[in-house]
Amino acid sequence: MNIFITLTMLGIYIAGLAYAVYSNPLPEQSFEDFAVGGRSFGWQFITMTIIGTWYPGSLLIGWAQMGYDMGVTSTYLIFYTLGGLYIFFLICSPLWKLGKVYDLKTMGQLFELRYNSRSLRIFVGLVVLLVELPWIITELLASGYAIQAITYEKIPFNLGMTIIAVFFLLYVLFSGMRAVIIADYYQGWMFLIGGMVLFGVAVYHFFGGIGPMLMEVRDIQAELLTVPGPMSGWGGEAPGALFWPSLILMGMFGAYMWPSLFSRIFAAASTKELKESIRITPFVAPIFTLLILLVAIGASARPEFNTGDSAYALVNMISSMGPVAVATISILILAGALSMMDSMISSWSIVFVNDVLTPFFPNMSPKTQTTIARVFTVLVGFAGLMMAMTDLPTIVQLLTRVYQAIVQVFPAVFLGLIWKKGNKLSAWGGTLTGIIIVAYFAFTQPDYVPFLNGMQGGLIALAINFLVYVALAYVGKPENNVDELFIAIKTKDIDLKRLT
Amino acid sequence: MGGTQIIILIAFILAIVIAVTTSNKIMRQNRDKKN
Repeated sequence: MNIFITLTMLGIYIAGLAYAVYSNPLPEQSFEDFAVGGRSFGWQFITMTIIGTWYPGSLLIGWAQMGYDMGVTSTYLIFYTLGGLYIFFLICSPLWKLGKVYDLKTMGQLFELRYNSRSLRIFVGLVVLLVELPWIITELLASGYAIQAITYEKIPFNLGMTIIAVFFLLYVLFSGMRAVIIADYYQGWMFLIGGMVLFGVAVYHFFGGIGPMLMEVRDIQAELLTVPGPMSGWGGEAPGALFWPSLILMGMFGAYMWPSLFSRIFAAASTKELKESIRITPFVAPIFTLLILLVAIGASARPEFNTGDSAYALVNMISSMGPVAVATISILILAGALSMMDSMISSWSIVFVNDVLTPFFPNMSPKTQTTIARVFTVLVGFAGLMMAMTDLPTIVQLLTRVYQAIVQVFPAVFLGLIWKKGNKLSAWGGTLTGIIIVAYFAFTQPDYVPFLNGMQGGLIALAINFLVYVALAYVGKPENNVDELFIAIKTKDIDLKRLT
Repeated sequence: MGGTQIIILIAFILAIVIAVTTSNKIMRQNRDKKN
């Protein structure tokens, strides 16, 4: 009976998703439609797709583990979600306008346009792709786990991963970014209604309310209600006091530098739609995150659900409520994994075609670009699947360590949009310096730097990156086309047509 | 099935119904606007 309930719910979820995606095909086979959904999406889609893409499947496993083991330290996710949205608000309008006028689809293209450097475009394109690679594997593993849980282990792990990979690859092939945005919109609703109700109900079911839950946590492990720092009870093993704030700052600056989120800005129909999406996201996203993290922290007061690996304590606790809860939490993991993987793989194929291939073959037709993007989608999807089925290759393990490199493109993106003086030299100098420092800390220190009171190495790298960018901006000359670009940035949406 | 299970199930179905109907409605409106 239990498996009948869970499989029926999974069937309804998959059928609804397939119906939403497949009833909206590409209007024409242009690369712009495939890559940025024809720049046609309104605020409702932008809002929900940001929420859908924001949360990975590993939120309910990896971050839940952080809540279980490190308590309120895990709430950095809430603050960086908010901070990231502020950064989004600052960059969305100039970026969208440049995208509209100069047909931008990726971050690499922005670098070539702003800094007149094709090699910088290829370099940035490759860096962001490589840093994102381990995520695809993590999310494939999360989806395999979700399918295994929802079928009560009737479908083995690898088969579950393969089914999910084939499913999302099919819809990405069908209509590229358009399918991804519709699918992520769908997952956004799943998080907001399905997720909020599930976790809200769980708090009352297990603890009788948030207050009693936190009191139980306090009585068992009071330090979980503090962040590591002086006099917080964490002891000498914990990172220093700057760990938590540096996690927030790094997350905030890096949030929209991931190619899968960055390119969403180009999919909007106008700057008005982008800004309108900010009316809702900063309210609902933190509430959802807070609920999950609170229940994960609460799970630490129920050690019977920790069956050897605290990463699964939250899922085990929720699943004990019955088959409907098993299905809902597994589907939420699946929703997070799907929205992350479809976004990443589609943006990978777009960045690869746009920033790595097109510079060498500038006369490639849009139809050929779309075809190559589709072939690349399949190749990356199956390569990720193969990697997820084996022990992670060393290269992936190395890439996992340098995830903070993604934040190092922020100064060149942000300052490039607001300051005319930034030039090719400053963009190369700042970004390379940042990445080298990140790599140094990544291979010599843990995830934080003990002698810097727990600060993440990436944040030091970012500060030096900013300084190098500014210093070199005064050494080199502004780019020739910079005045033209800033005219586009300052022009109202309605007048942009005459610039295209 | 207990009360909590029913509440979770209703929320799950509501999420899917809202997502499917509103996405198709908005996409249809977009197409109409373009035409």
